[in-house]
Amino acid sequence: MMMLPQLNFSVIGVEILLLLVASIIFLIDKFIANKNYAFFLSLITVIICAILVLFTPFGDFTQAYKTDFYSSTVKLFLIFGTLLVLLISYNYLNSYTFINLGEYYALILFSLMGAFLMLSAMDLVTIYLSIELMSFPVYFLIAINYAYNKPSLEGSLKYFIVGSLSSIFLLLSLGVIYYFTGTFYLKEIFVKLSESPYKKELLLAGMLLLISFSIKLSMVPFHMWAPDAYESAPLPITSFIASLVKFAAMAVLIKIILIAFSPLKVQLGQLLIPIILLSILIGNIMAIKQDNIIRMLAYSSIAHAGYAGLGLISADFVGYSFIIFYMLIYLIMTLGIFSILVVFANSQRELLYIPNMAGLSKTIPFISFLILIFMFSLAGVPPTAGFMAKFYIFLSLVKSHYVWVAVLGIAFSVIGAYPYLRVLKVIYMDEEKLTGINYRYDWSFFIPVGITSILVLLIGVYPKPLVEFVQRTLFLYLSTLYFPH
Amino acid sequence: MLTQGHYLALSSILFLIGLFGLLFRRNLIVILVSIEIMLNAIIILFASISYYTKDTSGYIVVFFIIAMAAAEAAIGLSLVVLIYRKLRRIYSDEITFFKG
Repeated sequence: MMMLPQLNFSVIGVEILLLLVASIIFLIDKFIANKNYAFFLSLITVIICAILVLFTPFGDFTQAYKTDFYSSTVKLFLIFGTLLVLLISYNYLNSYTFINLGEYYALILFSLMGAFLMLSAMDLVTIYLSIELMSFPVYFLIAINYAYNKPSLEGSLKYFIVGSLSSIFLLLSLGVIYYFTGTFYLKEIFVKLSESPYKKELLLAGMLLLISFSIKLSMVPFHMWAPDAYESAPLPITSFIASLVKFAAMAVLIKIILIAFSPLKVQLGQLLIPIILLSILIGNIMAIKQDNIIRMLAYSSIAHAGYAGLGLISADFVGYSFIIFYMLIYLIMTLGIFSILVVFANSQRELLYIPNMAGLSKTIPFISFLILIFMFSLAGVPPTAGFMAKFYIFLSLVKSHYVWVAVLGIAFSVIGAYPYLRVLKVIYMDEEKLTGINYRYDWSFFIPVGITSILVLLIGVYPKPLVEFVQRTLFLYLSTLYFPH
Repeated sequence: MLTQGHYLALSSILFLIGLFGLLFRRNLIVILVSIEIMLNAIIILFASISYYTKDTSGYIVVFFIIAMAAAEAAIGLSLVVLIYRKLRRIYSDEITFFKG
């Protein structure tokens, strides 16, 4: 008789809580008139999740799921981002009341649960299933905007078709891996891979995996969905896709390469060089001619995914930890700039077009100054966090002897400064066009903007503790992985 | 006598049919059907590997893929129905609201 394994439910408490709350919101949403309950319920849930993640014991739930140092750290970062997204959504949905609030917050919680499962998954089938759980709610969240903007269905459909193509490529890669190694578990794949004679065939599997993930990360040959989907989504959801979904996908890609494909990671990094250089170049060049600031930020997010991917080329764990650092900084910057754009969208939607922003610095000097901070950070100007993130990424590249890639990346990032500085030029130097906005600022605006702007300046001046924390996380994770006590 | 090669050939032909359908057909429903064809090709791949190596985990993946294909079809069809009702369009080259 076969022994059933002990099921250790305390390990997946966070996911169970998210599942229960999201299902409850879907169940009772019809019967409650005051729709703001969903916001407070999900806010409290996410805060409880943060506490639960801190106190969850590390361990396995069957063989497919494992909480460990790495996944818990990234989960904490994601929870921080989700809290800010919820606050931004509250501010945004006060003005856009036709969007159904209950479904909106429940779908965000479902997507977050998918990201959590994906981060702790220890085999490729679980990763596939949870990547789908992460992206299915996002299709609906984009399409939910059709009450205000009917063409937004187009963006949702494009994202859906491209996303299903990405999952099909992931499945193909799974098939190749299963054919040549006969297993799905990451650790067993590592063992089989290091003694397997089929290195070239498994490199093909790794390539299919990279295709699938670069669709999710909107790297260049597969980036065409990104601007349309970003423009058609409600603003908080745009920031959710741009920061959180990309962060989770990047963290999982690092995990797969680090555990399963570590004998092939140098070759995989070399395969990524053209994709990543192209996505930096094309993202930055296409951002120049955009007049809609959301499309501009979409192209800039393509370029930023490219910068983060530079760490994958360097193929050592220092480079990987700098990717996590970069994605964290990018999350903070994106959520900051979007929490300001929500004010524009709420008061006068025309302000989202860059030429209409002319002369805003005279009417709203404080918000203009905040935009200046975030734009400098996105462009990578020194006293801000964006510079530090780029600095460490390029440092890791130079250390692993890819100097020409680093030089090209820096040259492309000079082009990338133009679109951000153009916004600042229009705001600070042009003649006034639209009369100033009269808007009532409340706590749901000040909390996210305050936290993100202070963090951007603070990390820009003194990045050392955060960098060392992220680096130690990956180092500890690797040492417990290869030398279990 | 059928060997594993036959199954792999069938799977790759089906996959290519699906891929070309996705790339070159204009009707949204046909695009959704092409996605399903590709998923079915992958199902055949997993089932044949499982059958010839006597390992059951491939069969389990087949069930997961069937469930996911159903979920994907539900989402895709609901989106297409919404597009037809709100925008009155069904061909992919007519849906051009976003450019550049």
